[in-house]
Amino acid sequence: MLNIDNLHVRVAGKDILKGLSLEVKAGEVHAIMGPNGAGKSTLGYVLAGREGYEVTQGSVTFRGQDLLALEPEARAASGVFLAFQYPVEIPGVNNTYFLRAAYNAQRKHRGEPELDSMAFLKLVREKLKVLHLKDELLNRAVNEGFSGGEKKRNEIFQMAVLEPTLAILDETDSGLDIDALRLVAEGVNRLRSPERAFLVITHYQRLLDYIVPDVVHVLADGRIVQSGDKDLALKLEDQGYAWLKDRKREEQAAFAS
Amino acid sequence: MSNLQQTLVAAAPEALGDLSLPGARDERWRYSSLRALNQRSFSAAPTQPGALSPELEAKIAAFPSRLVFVDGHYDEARSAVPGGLAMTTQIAPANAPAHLPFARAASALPTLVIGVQQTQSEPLHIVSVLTAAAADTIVQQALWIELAAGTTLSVQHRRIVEADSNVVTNAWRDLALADGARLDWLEVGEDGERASVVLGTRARVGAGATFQFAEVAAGAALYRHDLDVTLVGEQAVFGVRGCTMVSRRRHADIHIDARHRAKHTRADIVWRGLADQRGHGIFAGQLIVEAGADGADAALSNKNLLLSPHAEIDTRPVLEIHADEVKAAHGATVGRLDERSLFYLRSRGIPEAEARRILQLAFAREPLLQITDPQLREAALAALARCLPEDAA
Repeated sequence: MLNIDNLHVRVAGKDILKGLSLEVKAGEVHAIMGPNGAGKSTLGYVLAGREGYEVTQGSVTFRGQDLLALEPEARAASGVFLAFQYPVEIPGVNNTYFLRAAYNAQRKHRGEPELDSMAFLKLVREKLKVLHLKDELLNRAVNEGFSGGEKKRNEIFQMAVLEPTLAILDETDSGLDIDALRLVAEGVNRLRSPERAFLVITHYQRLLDYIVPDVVHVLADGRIVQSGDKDLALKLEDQGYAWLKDRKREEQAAFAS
Repeated sequence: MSNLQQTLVAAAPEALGDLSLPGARDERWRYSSLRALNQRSFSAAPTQPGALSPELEAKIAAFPSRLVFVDGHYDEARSAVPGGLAMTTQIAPANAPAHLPFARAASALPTLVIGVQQTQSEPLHIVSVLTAAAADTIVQQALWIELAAGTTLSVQHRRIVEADSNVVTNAWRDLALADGARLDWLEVGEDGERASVVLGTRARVGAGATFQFAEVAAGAALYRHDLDVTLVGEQAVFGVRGCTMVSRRRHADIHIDARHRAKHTRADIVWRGLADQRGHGIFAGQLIVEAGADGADAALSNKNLLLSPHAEIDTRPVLEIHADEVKAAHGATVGRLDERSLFYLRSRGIPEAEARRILQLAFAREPLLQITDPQLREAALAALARCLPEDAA
């Protein structure tokens, strides 16, 4: 479904991703772990199409399409969703209005009929119930005055409504207490399906107790340095990221000789 | 002497013999150049209301309670005056302040005087229609509204144009609120891109009286509004909620002077401005607390968005305090559309143009949502949606 090949990305003149390759198949959950500054969030942003992320080399194919050639809105319509690490507050824009505009814009882009406000409200109410969110959330401005936990749950709620094919969760666990973490994980697990893939970016192993990944990748210095099953996450939790430096030194030594 | 000045003075030569228009160096008119107007020559304005298209007639008739002006002339036949209003026409002295020369010219003309003797439960629509016959002319209008003590009135003033022309509108409104009165006012113009509009509004607010003013300014070739408000009685209140939204080559210059003359008076001004393409938005807000107006509470906020490299915003918040124990705050900002918000909306599938429109509307809507009169609020929001064209984003 998603094929990232030798991706190099530069941000503000600095190389962040330096040859990242990754393949995600439909139905799979991949976790991306790694130390701060490894390029985890950059990966999320470059897939979603944020400006200022310059791809200098490599390619990204999503469902047979060149993803990098698409505008952010076209990526969303073709099924990419990024749950932001820091969701943006947008005063003056009503949450329901925003979601309906997004939902219908995606449908329109795909040549599907738009949903009227009654039908949309019904859909949205169902999703709220599933995520244990209050109705009141719908009448507030997008993320305005939301607590950290509410913002993250609002991201998962949006994902539930938009039903993407590829969901990228960028440190959705950061700033969540254990109860909120469970709710978020429950929301994600409900959306797991053979047609949908997840890229779960996280710094800590904790989230992966609740969202059990099929594959765990370690991202360090702009590249995937190791991949494994869920036990790799446990090993990282146990040993931290310090061993990566030793590994890198070994690699450099091998290269020099 | 320019033909502009001659034409203005000719309407009442005795009263206006000394009228002089702002020159190029006049600081108050720095961003509203009269150069183009000074180079034009004007035809005589229509002497009576003309014929209107059936569509326009229907549009006017849809306002239940209304005062209709056609090309500056009060049109009794098309108006529907509610009870409790006393209407007379006076030849008033040219009594507008000297620093508002356009207003002085208009105030020298026969003035429609409206005495509000009873509280009005329904909003009064003041509809100023500009017909095609008004092209090449200066259409002048003078209104004097007096609210008796304790009465309430809500006004929606709108200008409707038959076709975009180079007409110049010069309108003067003199408002007097006796003690305990309340006036809510919404100003909306649907002016064309070639039109020039000069508005002068003066209000004197008595003890315990409230004047709430709202405006959606979409601009014109030249659009200037001077709002001059004096809080003359104790605990008088003045509020402004407005926005400027200019695109293409439109211009809108808003000057608000709020003068605290009595104790414990309150003024609260919130204005937002957006300028796109080659639009030019100007806001000058001045809060003056005179000596002896102790306990005054004065606040002014003006936030702006510049949406294009060719657009221009000028803002000047001023605070002038001559009294003690005053609470005062003022601030102005000019920024750009938040790229993070834009990306957030787009990442959810909303096309860029629509995302921009959503963010612009949200920004401009904020002060309008605070309009207390629900009917005025609704009308202001509708006017806002109208004046943000789809292609402006």
